[in-house]
Amino acid sequence: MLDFLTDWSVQQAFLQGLATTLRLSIVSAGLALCIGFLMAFARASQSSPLGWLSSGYVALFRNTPLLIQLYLCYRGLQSLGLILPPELCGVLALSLYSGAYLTEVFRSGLLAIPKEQLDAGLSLGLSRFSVYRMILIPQALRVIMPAVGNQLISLTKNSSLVAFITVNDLFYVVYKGAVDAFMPLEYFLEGALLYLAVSLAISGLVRLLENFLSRPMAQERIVSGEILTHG
Amino acid sequence: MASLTLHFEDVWVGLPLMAKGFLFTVLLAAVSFSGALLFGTMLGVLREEKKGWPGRAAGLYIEFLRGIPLILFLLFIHYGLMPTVFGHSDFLGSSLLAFFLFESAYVGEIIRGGLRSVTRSERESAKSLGLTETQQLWHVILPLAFQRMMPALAGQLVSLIKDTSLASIVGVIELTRAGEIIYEQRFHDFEILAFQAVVYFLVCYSIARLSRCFEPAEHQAESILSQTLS
Amino acid sequence: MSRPRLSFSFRCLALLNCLLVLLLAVGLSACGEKRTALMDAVKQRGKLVAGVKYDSKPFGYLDTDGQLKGFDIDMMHELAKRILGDSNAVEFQQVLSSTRVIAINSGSVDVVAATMTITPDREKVVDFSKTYFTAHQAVIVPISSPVKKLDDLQGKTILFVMGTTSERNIRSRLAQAKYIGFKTSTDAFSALKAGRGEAMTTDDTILSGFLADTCGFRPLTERLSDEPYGLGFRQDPDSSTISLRQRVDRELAAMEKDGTLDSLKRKWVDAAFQSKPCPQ
Repeated sequence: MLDFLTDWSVQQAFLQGLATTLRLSIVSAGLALCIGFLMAFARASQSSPLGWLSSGYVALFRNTPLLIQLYLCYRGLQSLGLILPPELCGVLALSLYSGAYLTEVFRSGLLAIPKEQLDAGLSLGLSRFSVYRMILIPQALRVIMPAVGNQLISLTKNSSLVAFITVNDLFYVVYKGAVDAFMPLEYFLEGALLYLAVSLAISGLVRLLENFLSRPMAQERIVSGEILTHG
Repeated sequence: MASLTLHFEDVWVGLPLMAKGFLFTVLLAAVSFSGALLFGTMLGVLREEKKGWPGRAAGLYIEFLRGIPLILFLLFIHYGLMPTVFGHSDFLGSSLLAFFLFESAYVGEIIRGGLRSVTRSERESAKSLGLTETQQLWHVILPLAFQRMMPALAGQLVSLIKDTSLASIVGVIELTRAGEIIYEQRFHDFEILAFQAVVYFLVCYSIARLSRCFEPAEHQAESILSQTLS
Repeated sequence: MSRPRLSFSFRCLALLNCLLVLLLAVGLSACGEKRTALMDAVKQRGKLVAGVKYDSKPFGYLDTDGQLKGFDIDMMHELAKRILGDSNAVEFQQVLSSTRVIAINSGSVDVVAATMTITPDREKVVDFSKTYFTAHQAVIVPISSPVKKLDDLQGKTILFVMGTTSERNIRSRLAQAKYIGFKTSTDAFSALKAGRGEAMTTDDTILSGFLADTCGFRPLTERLSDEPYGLGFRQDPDSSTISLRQRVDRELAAMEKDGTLDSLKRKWVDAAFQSKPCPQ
């Protein structure tokens, strides 16, 4: 066990894998947040084709396994002659999969806010965009922050599946090491600890962000209160 | 530019094998989910209602399993735990065990959410009926928690069905692996994978739709929130 | 007061749970005790549990009906007949190149018959039977490839299967090449067909299966190594009685003498190992 921990080449492989996992997760998380945000608005909009598109997308990606989505992108398209690099497939599948969950999260955030606030904002002469930007979204954000955090943690854990489309991520290192070095336990344990550390770090960051968000929130409320009293 | 011909006849060729695989998918999900409902409820109750070491132990268990990827846990059970403890490791057995233990943590967290949603006044009124604490839990608090968490539990079942595809990695011939066997020989990966996606979709989507029948209208918005929180 | 009653019932539940876990642990460790004599376990069970490949034509593969076929499968049936008196007294479990050593040591299987090369490294962790087949590590490339010999592959991307000897062999030979590892040989071959790499390497026996089925690829003439296949067993500390490995060795010797192994080779292994011309 001690040999394993002090074997620099092993630890270096772990670090490289961890770096790939983080890079992949961050890029996918950014994309997934954008997708979720846009799709939630598409769903909320009155235009029905946009609404259908959004609910169809959510249903499709939430109800099929991520592994199948990854395989479809990597080897399904490959068998049709369309060769996409494995990392691209990983990012695509991960962000579309998590994006579907995040759409629902954002939607629930928008639903959680009383509709009267929109009317109140509009009656003050604010544009629909400003009402969303200044009043609705900041409140929704605070409500959904924990759920967003959970989704980001899920995304990082789910990213382990890209190992099966030949991406050398943290799980690939664990799997290959366990297989080649004939000592599965050590590799699994270190892998588990690293994933756990990443999960904890994300939830810590989200909590920080929650605290941060609640400060401007208070200001917003004062501002909107001022507008109301002046009006 | 080569013209694109799809070979959906492969789906037909592979249908018997994939049907057999599908049964294993159902078996894996059904057995481990029913087990997880029991164990998970116990974990949730311990964590929420019990503040001493059992509560802390349940919390630790839930947090640990929720922090690591399922595939890592599955391989750990199959290649690490089962052989060390049993001296024998069979892929169906270890997949069942891994899914059961892993899902229990998630079910436990859902039940805990349900228990939290039971208000103080609901608890008080149960108490005022003269029920013992155990009776309160069994006849009032847990049923309420379950009722409120129905959509979240259904969502968890859907997740589990999707996650059973990971059993293909250790070698259980369930739906995903069955299809893999077909395209490993006939090389039309896309057609088989698309078919598999459709099958998973039909099963999962039906469950998700059905679960909506159970939820009271006034709870709809709230349950969407709880579902996404889970 | 009802409060203590709740605590009591939960204490009972928790206690019960602990007892269960304890019982389980004791029961299991008792099971663990039995792991010493493999031969006894096999006899008691009345059948062998063999780890074989499901993806390595012609040694072990599933055909589209889900039937398991191949050299290793036939050989295990033959061994079951000779050791236990019934050719069907064998149960097959899938192993991958990447998981076969773990499968042996985890006790998932009694024996692994999965195109496994006998190497000094592996001999440290598993027991091997005598060689039952000798393969050679080879490399295939697309017919149109400019690559003529191994050294032309420096700097190119080579596809390999994880957990095999071929990775190390080719890495030490071609240090400048890039490598991608796959879970199974069919994964690697699909990727080669798709052009994700310039060459693929594994044993000639497995590659010949691909060449026989698919046109458009050719082998390089050089071979990287000899790959003597052996059956793998868990290292058996019990030497007082005859071990499963010794028994299997005896039967293998007999099968070699009476021509059974040769007829298996003729039945399954395509000696040709050459590219199939593509119809115009």
